Amino acid sequence: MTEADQLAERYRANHARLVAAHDRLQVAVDAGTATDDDRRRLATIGELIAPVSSTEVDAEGNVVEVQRYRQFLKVDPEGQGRAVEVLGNLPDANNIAVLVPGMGNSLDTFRGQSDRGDLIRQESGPGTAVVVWLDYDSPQGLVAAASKDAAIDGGARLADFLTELDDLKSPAASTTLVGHSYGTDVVGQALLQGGRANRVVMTGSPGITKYIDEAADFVQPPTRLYVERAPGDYVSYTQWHGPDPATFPDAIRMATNDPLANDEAVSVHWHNEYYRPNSEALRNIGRVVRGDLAAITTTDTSRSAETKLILGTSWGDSLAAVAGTASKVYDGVVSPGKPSPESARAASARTSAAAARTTDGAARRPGGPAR
Amino acid sequence: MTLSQAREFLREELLAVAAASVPGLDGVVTHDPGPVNPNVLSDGSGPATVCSITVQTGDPKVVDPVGQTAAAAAELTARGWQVEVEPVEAGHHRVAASRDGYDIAVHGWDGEWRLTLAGETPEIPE
Repeated sequence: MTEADQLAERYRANHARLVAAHDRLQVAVDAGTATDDDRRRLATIGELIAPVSSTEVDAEGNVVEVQRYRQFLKVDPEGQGRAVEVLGNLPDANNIAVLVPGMGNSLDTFRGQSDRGDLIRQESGPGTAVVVWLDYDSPQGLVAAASKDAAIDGGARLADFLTELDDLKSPAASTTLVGHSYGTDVVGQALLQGGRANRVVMTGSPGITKYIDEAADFVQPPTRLYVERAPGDYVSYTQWHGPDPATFPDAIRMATNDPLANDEAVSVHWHNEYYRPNSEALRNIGRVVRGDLAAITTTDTSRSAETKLILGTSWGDSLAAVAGTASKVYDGVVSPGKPSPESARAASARTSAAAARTTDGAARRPGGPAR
Repeated sequence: MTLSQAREFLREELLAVAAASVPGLDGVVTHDPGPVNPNVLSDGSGPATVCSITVQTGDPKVVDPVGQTAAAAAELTARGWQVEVEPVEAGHHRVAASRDGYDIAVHGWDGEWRLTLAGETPEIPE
């Protein structure tokens, strides 16, 4: 059996696992013994086993619509649930992104994670496969997220997966880890536990550990760390788990807003808009995944400047000093208000030429994309 | 407008632009999972208030990202979208379009016959 056949068989086995779970839950629903959670999970699994469409070329060279089942490398339909899904053709991909979501996720929220994975794949271009990796017990709420246990356990799993990925992909393919929020903690722990990737992206990070204040502490050369912190991202400001990676002297701080764009540009602010279509934040993630490093745009705005621009007075530093408040804002309980697109762009316009560095041998353009 | 209506509108717009970009071929909806929580990467427990849809089109016999993205831009403009044709970046041809909180990204690539149209609705609580 070829490696491609083994992978296809693995996809089929996990599909069958989902079908079996679906059948069990359907029996419970039909018998009137299902709980609300059972019904929700039945709907979730029903969606995961539904075929999806793609465009392929037939023997005559015509484009045809092909329906196939989704590609799960791993799935656990029980309890909180876990899944690792491949979007695209993993063995043939030149560039692979591994997306690691943050807190509050479960199998029942997997639709949204897969949705973001698709956006990254489209942004990164042909030859890209995205692995949506939810093989850890994502903290379900603030109390759980205060603990690093899930990140440490998940980090070990992620490190193992990266080793496994080496056997599933082309040897020449590049791998980029993309973590968001608590997911950056998982990524950091994976790297500390021996996980390796060609590039690492962190968006909206609450920090890795209190002792890590530079990329060299956990990212092994020649791998580089690329960080995004949007104006008003209170999770990054709180530095809840450690120093903000956006402040690491050896990280590449990517712009989240295009300083040269017109008024119709898509602005990114606060904690959850890094993956908006057409945003500079998502474009930069795509550039990293496909290795177009010279096109990355950068910024070096301070949190004081960002928050002052948003509300007229700086609150970022004082916020970080108040642990109780930090906890609340991390959970979304407290949101200090929403900045206007103008203020977000104004903050991003402070992009500095001084931030220019050399990345993987490619010079960055500090002034943003040419327009 | 409800989120379901917004999803239908976005899908129809994407398919119409795809058809105009590569005449004679119908676009294929490759991604349309339904409402998701826009904050899902950090907190999946929130309400599902946006829909993302991806449509692919293209003719394997005709690799023309320049012409096809230009046609997409023209069709989007004709349909009332605010359109920006982005500078080509390392073989990446992009059209960015927005309208009433909707966003569409049209991606064409040098050497690639597929044209991809990815769109997202505005946030609409159901």
